[in-house]
Amino acid sequence: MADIRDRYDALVIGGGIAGMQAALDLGEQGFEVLLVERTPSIGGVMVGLNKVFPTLDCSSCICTPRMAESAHHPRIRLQTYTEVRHVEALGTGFRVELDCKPRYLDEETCIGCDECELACPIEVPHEFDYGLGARRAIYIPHGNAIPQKAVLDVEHCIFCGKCERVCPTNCLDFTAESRTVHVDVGAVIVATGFEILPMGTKPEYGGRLPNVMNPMAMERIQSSNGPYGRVLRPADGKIPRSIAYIQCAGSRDRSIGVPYCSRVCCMYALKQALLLRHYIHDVDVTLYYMDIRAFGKGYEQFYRRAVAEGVKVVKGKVARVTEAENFDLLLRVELLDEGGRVDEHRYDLVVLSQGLIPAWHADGIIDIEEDADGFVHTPEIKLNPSFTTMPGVFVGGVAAGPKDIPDAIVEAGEAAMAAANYLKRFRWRSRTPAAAVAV
Amino acid sequence: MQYYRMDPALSTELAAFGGTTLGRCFSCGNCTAVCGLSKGDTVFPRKIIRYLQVGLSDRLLESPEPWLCYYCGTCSETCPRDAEPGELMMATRRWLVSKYDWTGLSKRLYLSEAWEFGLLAGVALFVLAMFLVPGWLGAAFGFSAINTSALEHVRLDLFAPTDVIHYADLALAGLLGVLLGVNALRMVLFVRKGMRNLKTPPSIWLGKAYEILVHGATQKRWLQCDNDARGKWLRHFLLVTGYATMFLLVIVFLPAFQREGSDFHYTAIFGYYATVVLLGVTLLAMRSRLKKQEQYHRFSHASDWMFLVLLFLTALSGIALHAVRLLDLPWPTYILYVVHLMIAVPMLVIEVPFGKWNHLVFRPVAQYLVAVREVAQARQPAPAPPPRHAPSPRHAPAVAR
Amino acid sequence: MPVQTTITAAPAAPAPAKPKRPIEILRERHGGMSKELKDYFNEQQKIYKALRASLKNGPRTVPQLAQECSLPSPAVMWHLMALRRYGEVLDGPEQNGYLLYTLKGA
Repeated sequence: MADIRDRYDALVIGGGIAGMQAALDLGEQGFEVLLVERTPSIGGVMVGLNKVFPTLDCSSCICTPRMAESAHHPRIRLQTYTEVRHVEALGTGFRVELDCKPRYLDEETCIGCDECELACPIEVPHEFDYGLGARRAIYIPHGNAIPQKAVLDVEHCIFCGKCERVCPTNCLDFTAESRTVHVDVGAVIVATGFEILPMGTKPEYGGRLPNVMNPMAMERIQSSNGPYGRVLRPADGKIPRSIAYIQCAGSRDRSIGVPYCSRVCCMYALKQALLLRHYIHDVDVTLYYMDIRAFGKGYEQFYRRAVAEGVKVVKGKVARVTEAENFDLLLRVELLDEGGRVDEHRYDLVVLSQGLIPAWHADGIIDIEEDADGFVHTPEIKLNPSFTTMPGVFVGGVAAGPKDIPDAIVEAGEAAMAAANYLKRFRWRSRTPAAAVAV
Repeated sequence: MQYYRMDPALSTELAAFGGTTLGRCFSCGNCTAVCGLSKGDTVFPRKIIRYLQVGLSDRLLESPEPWLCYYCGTCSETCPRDAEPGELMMATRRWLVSKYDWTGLSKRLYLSEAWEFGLLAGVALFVLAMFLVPGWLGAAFGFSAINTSALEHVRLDLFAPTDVIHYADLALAGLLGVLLGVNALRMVLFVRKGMRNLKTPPSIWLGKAYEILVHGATQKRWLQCDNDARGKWLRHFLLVTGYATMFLLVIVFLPAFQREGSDFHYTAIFGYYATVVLLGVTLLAMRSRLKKQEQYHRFSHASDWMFLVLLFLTALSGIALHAVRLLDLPWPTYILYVVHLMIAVPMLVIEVPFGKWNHLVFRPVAQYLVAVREVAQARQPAPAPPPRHAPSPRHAPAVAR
Repeated sequence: MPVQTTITAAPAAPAPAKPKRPIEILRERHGGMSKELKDYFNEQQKIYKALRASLKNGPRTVPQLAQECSLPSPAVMWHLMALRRYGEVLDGPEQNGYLLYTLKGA
């Protein structure tokens, strides 16, 4: 792989599904794109999901082709394990400062054989499995990772050198250091996505209890390449017989500063609940909700299907989750449909439908404004939804606000189109010397 | 089927009583489920807030629930809409007081500071007049009774003879009893309307009467609250003991409590205890309200301040009076005696029956009413319980897949 | 992507008798293993040892292992799943709502 050039047409920040879509759309139109991803693999959140609503397609099966396409596109330069440190607006275009973190191996020669990982003696919680599974200090991010190259997590390295001894291509380079690279680009697309609200945000929901689960961790547990191989309780490996979903556990809640609706929780919870009914025979899955927001194409039908297939839905906002003996959980709720009776119900497993918060902030990196909730501000939200407060910087996907995968793809495509128009208007050429650029 | 009248003005009325966040609530039920006191069929705050939102004044009058809330503030802390359910319950209690009160004075006092200060000043002037105008109440006392011996040494037996003050105290206590009693009776009648579908023979009403005494004396229900209930309950309980002690000393045991010269009587020990407690707890509460430390101190209605300030000043002037009397300073003693009464009597006459103080009656009575209702419900033939967690018809798929 | 492979890129050090191995350079740059990591690693080895010893006696569920090894069951679960992930342990049939785990080759 050739090194990063010093000039590109567009910089796409974030290699999730939105970032890949924006990069591909620009690349297909003939623009040279630099796609920068913070983690060691592209694919974002989507590649870790089990299935997608409402089609129940296997998520990684429809995401990996996009990943491969982005990685092998002749006009897309992929730069993983790299953070954008600063983007400075020039008169025309932007000067970008990148921080390329070392993988401690030569990406050219690493063949992704995984020998180093198998030799490594220490195991640490795997971020990809939200801590439920294990990885080693040197590891390949996951089976579908692109690039399929190892990375050394030096914070957990015990410096035994075993990996170096087993590497068949001698690709390891322990003396590598992070590099600062400067690149000039004509336009920037922010597609930095989201993360799930931290589990302890509402302490009364027992987010720190072993059987109170992050919904993304539940995606991993349900996945065929998940940490347990099947659906089990994290606390003691019991096959759960009763599972509760708490909706709006971290959304539409001013008391924790997340006043907005995260849009996807109703649907992902219904999807996970429906699949749990498929995975565990006769399991009791109950969703406690304030209202079900099945807003998208085919979503209402999906909701009805989930109910028809035995997912129970109960109106009432759960207020408290406490641990009973044996790692079981007690859930306290006012049953609004039963005259407001306060009920305590026991479950094997509780999933908190936590809201979405921005995974990245522009503060000190790009001079674009953010909304009070931290998502990128889009001043022309109706007609130019991808415009930010700075000309030439566009936003796509969840970075601009919570949305589901189809909406993120549509918006990323819109951002790519807007960036293309912008580049044409200013006749930015990535392959001509800077001095010759006509404004 | 019982029909209820809707009162469109209820929400604006409540705002005047301090409940301004009513519109924010979207009835999710978090507050009820998080509340440690909300159990079985006695559920709040959401239900009460719902009544407020849809203007069901009659249902509110029939509900003892607002008095079961001790405002621990957990609901306000965790409310997803910042609708302050705890403060709405507080405002509802003020509104209820104004409805229970047949004189209509409560409402005026809550809604108008002019009325509040005017009435307090009126009673204070009345007290002053008692001491200024000679020969009132058919007895010689007050400033006109001060002679040369009363100028050399403190002579309370001349300035404020114990028997005169004692009779006045007993009359005052009688007045308070009648006012509070009538309002409590009205409360009982209102809530009993809500029990029209239950059979409540007198045996239940009599059998549960002890609840009033138990809860009035201990406020033990508070201990089931969250948010450091023990500490708050203890402070409040101390305040109650201090207040009750002082009340008994001046109303019932005045002949023993009001002493001449420096001879010691054991009642003084009770007096000191009450003074320390009243000063300490009111100071803590005022500080917390100023700094908005505790959940339940973040919003302060004028009536909340009046309650604390008057109690604090009563205790302060009382102990000052005690000091100057022991120092045998005649004039300061006489003046402080009048000042002390000019604070304490208006507090008792205005704040106890018409202001925040009356919760000392309404809270235990509400406990009593709930106990009666629970017994009556238990005796009722139970209707078939709804199936647990059965999907309600609205969730059933319209079309089978 | 060209990667700095020369040892000279390391911060200047007093000339050693023989060139340092790259892993030693990495260790020096990061100040060696922290005490927390050392404790973590040793604890982990102990847990694995206990789990393997227990599993040698036959298939076990997580609560059974937790009891035999006197370990909290969430910790047993995590470490057992790590062993499973790296091929030392297989999951077997169900017993009273729990899965039985076997040591591979046992």
